[in-house]
Amino acid sequence: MSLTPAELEALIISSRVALLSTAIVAIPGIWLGWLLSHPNWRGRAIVDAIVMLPLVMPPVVVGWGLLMLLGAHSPLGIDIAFTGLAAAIAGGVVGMPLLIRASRIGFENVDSRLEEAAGTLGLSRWQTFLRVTVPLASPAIVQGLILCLARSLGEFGATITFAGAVPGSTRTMPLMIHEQLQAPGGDEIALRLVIFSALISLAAMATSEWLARKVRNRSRGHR
Amino acid sequence: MNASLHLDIEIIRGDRIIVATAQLDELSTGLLGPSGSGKTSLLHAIAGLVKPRRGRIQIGNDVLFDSDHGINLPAAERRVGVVFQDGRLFPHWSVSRNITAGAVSSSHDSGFEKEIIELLELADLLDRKPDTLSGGEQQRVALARAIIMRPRWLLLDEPLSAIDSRLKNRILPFLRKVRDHCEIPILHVSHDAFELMAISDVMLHLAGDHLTGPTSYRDLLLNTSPGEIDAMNLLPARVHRIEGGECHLACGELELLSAAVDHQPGDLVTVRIAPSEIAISTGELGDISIRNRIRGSVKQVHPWGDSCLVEIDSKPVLLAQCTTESCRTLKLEAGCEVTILIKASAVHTIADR
Repeated sequence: MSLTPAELEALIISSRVALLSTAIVAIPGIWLGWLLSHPNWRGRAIVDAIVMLPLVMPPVVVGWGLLMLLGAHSPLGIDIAFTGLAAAIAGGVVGMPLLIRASRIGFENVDSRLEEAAGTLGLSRWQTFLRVTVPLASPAIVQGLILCLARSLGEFGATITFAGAVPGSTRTMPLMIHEQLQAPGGDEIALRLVIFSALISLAAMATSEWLARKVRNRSRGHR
Repeated sequence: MNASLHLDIEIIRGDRIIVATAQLDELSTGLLGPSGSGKTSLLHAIAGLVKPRRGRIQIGNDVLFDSDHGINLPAAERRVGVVFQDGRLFPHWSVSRNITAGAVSSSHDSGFEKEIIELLELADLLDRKPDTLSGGEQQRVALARAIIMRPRWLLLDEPLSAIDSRLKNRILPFLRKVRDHCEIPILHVSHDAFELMAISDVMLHLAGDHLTGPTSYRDLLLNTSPGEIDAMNLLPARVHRIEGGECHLACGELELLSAAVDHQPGDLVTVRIAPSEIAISTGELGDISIRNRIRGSVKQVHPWGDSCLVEIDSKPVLLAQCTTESCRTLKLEAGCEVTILIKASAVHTIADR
């Protein structure tokens, strides 16, 4: 079973878009997870609810919101709609809640007594965060990143609304599957793409588990 | 010592306020108090992990905390080392990375690092991860980690509480080495006076939300009620010879007999005798099985709860406990010539090394 050039293109675009979207939201997502892991600050509940919205709202609505914010009528004067970057941002926004949730749990499980100990050793807050907090939370962060990647790999609604299905730049695998299902006689191609998508997703999940286990073992002291 | 620690603080702990005022000038000071008395909170206030309600903390001329002037140095800038009760080693780092965790942020002194690794016998553990170490090894690593950053003060928060008693006696010598070798002043917290006396001549006492001292153990004991702190005579001694199931100990000008344990002649030990295990006689003694009979005169009789602590001016001085009634019957008072009797089985010895 081999891929046609068009299918291969969709596969490459999907991968590129998913990797880019994860890279875009990695730092803000981890930072929000860290912020939300701290229990007592004003407005925490509101921020918590807002960052989880993309997870519970229909992706089409997320896409429409992005179109309003970063489209032709952008109040910020930034119009990136229907570009590869738009596809990445659409995927990143729907994937970010998963990253935030996972890294938040990771940070919550870091023993704050170890951070105290680092302070008494003369490590600044920033040094403590980078050398103690992040490494100890890293198994959860890595899993969050991979969930985010997998989620944006499969994103459809937000992408088609905000980025369209431009061949060669935003037509990802899910969009191409949709296209084929609409076209007469496209069922066979669609099925092949579905199988490929499933294989990619399984590989991503397996890699996630393997990576998470590796990071976890390293931080627990087994070799 | 130009790094004396000055404390004058109030700490909130639950619904209580702990008042702590003290000036620590010795190289090693103990902090004694029952569980839950707030010893750890006090230590954490000095380290900068707990903010006092008000007051002032100073090392030498350096102010760490002063509520009147709004000064509250973060823990990272205090250079106060802490060995925590629960170790708190970084699980994702090897022993070697753990012990240099603090040193990397200041000027790194690898000569000193090597010295400490040798002193605390850590060379074989350097590549291990903390969760593969025994409790005693973990505490040695924690001790090294706190020392290698060259703190101005070293705070030990019951570092031996998680270690079984047989191993405790093997860690104590390490604490002594640190005190003698590194010249870093130590404040050592414990609920066990014996542990404190192993490395400190003076101690603070925290009870009833108040800190008292520093004083000698003897003065502390005489100023508390029975049951508040463990009463004991602690005497340094050398094993002289072992014969017929008895261990002969040279202890100042006294020769004491104890039931033989696994010591060798020449060993340095600490002798521990409870005052309640010492009997006093004023008359002639007939044949009696008690092996230790020491002549001496009464230096002073201290009322102590329902009983009395009788101070005998032997060398070294011994404290014996008897009821107020028996003190009265024997007419014990300063200057009385007495014989004190201690069963060999009441003379406990702990190897110093």
